[in-house]
Amino acid sequence: MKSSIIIGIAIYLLVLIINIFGVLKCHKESPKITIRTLFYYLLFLFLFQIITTILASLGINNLILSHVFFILQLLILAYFFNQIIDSPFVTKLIRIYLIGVFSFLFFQYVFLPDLIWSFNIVEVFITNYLSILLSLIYFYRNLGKKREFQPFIVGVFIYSTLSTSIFLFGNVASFIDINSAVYVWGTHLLVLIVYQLLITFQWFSLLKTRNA
Amino acid sequence: MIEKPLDIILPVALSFFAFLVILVTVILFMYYARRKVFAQKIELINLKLKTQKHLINSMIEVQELERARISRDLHDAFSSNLSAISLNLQHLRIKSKDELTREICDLATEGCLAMIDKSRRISHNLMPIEMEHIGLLETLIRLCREFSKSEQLDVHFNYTISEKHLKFIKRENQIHVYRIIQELITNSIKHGNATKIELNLTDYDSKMLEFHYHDNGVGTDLNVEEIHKGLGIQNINYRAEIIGGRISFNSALNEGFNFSLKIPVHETKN
Repeated sequence: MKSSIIIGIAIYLLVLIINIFGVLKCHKESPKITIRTLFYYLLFLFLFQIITTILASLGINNLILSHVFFILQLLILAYFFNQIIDSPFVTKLIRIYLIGVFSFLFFQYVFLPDLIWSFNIVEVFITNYLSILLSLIYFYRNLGKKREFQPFIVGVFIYSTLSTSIFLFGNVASFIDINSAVYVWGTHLLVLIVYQLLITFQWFSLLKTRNA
Repeated sequence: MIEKPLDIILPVALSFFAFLVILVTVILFMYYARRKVFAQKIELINLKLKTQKHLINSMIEVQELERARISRDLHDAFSSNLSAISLNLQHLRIKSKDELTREICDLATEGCLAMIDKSRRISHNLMPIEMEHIGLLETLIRLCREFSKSEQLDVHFNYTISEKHLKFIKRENQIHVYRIIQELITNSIKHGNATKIELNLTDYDSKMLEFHYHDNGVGTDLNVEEIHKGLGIQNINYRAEIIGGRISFNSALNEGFNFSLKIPVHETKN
């Protein structure tokens, strides 16, 4: 199983690198704030994956980085959605949600500091839920219209829903069988690869549209 | 590692709650998305209908303009020239001493007068130009009289209102009313073999006028779909819609044909 996970990480990183260059090419052909945000997001995913892999190979607990990951991902995706959904309601929703999430996490870590060294399931849920909600709002608002970022948003929706569900399931399963964690990470890796492939499809279709 | 049952129950409960929240969000999205798609479909159908209606209105408008033009041309050019020819023939007849020439002149004058009469009738059928001067009521009276005279038909027109009630109806709408009645009578002759027609015009209420039409023709089975698809009925429908009128009709085999048209009067005030 361990070797499968290593192969999975390698595939994930390969697709991620291809995507970084693909999105960069898209941005060079038509510079847009949304594509730039997507580029920074992919760069963040890449750097994060490299750092956590190095830390894991050195035997250092990298769980503390998961908090940084979920919060930064939430911020980048919220910023991206705010760019593509032109609605004062959505802007307000994002602001209120972010204030609520940060306030909640702040008090949670103040009163339960031990959580910093463990996997925080509430944090996973509340940081991913906004992406689920915003991708559904995006789909709803663009029903019957041409959607420029359709593959990426489908990816965000699938990734956020499945990733949250996998972690929630993993949380329940770990009480039954402690060894189930490896399967949880394996499945999560598969979701990550699908997510990256959808991003590949995204920049590919963006390039195709520009060149048409 | 886990000491108290709460340590297990709380995370599991939280996980289930989170699952539930995601599930409810997705279900809500699906519900509202379905509603939106349905509303979009209805909007599209309405838009198509509106475009279709607009197209039909324009078609009818163009048809009326073209009818008016042909009618005017017939009246101005054709009839005037025939009158001139007729006058010249009369002049020739007076001047001529040859009996054969006089006879030919008489025949030709007779032909000219018949053609003038025919062209006048065609012109009138195409567009009742006099409606502007004499009004809708009088034009309808003349139409009924004309049909009673020219066909093996008896058309009775009863009215309880005066011309001043009708002056509030727009001129173009008056033409539509006229065309509907004309179409009904033509249908009664063509399809119903009617010999008696009764047309009543009454004040339905303070805002509506009602035309009630009845013929003694062979009638028709209204359950047959083709009847509703027929150009005549469709034409009547379109015109009634344009003037904001409401129509209803009923008929059965060998029971004649009944038709009612209610039109707003004050709303269409000029």
